[in-house]
Amino acid sequence: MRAWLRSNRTALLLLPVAVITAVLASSSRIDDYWWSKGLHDRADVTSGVAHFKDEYDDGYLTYPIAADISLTSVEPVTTIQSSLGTPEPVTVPEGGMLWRVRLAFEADPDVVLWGCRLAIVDSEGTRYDAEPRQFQTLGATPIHTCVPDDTPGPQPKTGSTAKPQLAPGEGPRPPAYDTVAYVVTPEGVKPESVRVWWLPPKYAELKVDDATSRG
Amino acid sequence: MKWPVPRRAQLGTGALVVAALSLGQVLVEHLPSSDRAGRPFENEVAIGKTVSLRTGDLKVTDVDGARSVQPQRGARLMSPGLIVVVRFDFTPKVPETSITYGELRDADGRTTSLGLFGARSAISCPTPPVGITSHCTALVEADPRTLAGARLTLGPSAIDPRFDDVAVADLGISTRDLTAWKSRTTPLDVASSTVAGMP
Repeated sequence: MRAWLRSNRTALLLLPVAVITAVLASSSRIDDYWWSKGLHDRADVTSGVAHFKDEYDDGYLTYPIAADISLTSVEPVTTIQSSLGTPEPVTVPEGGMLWRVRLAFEADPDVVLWGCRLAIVDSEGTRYDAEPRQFQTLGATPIHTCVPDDTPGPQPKTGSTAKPQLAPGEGPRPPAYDTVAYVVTPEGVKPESVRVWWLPPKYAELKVDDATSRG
Repeated sequence: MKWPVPRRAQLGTGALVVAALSLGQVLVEHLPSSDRAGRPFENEVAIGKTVSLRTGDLKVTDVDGARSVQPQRGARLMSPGLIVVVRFDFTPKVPETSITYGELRDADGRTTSLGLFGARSAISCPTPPVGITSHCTALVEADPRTLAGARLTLGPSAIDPRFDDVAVADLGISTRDLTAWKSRTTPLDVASSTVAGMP
């Protein structure tokens, strides 16, 4: 036995390397089916500000997505103000309630920030995504979640590889601004954090604390 | 000519190679094919009971049928056979989830796939927020002779039910039900599917 071990020493030493190489070689599915499909890569947060930094790259067009994001407030609402300033009631599904989430952004006006998603996460890790069609109101609800509606900043043109530009007639986006989003959850849910993301797996997570929670 | 005589170590190595190849062959023959390995996880459920799927909770609330049905929003459907109307509730556990896969398995073992929009046999289930219930409807046209004992499979993905939980509901259709449904003289009204509490 000892002689066999001695004569096959090299092969035995290389065996773990071969096994690790084989596992790594077949691990692309982890990226294809899990890592890039969900929110797994959290942005750094310091003093309540998430430093989000990602990149859009479809092989033809590349642009950065970068912003400092902070949570201003999370509060339950039963009315939303109309464009004339009058409070309009909201209709939510049976057993549901509506939350208003206010975010503050600081970002280079030339960076593309439209098209983000937002969700409330409760203490059990359940995610409730912001979807405008989940409630009804005559109040003024925002079109965009992460940019001002009237100055959304540069946008890529669908099907084009041209550098993202401002739409004709639109002014530049201010370097700092606030946004509002609405989220429906079942009654009794206690928001623990707010998530913002553009392209999985990268996301920003902002904790709901005494300063931001008004629920 | 003198044949080379293998050493004991060489014979052992050869035996190990043959054993490994044999083991590989046995595994290949006994492991399920990709179709079978990828089949959905079936969860049996009876009418009125709730089944917990990976994507949410599903409860079949009512089964009815007629030769003619009148959807709340849509054209009247008539059939030389029967149109079965299955109402069910779905409460998602994960965002952006609904029930879009449906398949009727009749008593003869035939299957009828349900489409989404515009199909005669169709499923309709709006996507509610997580934790909120949708009242959904499945319409399926079938041969009345095969409906007693039929089961309906419901799942979250219309295009690929593999690898995920699906509910298999025994529709509990009896020959008495079939006689009553066939003798209906007016179309059966079918309310539109909705998220609970929404217009």
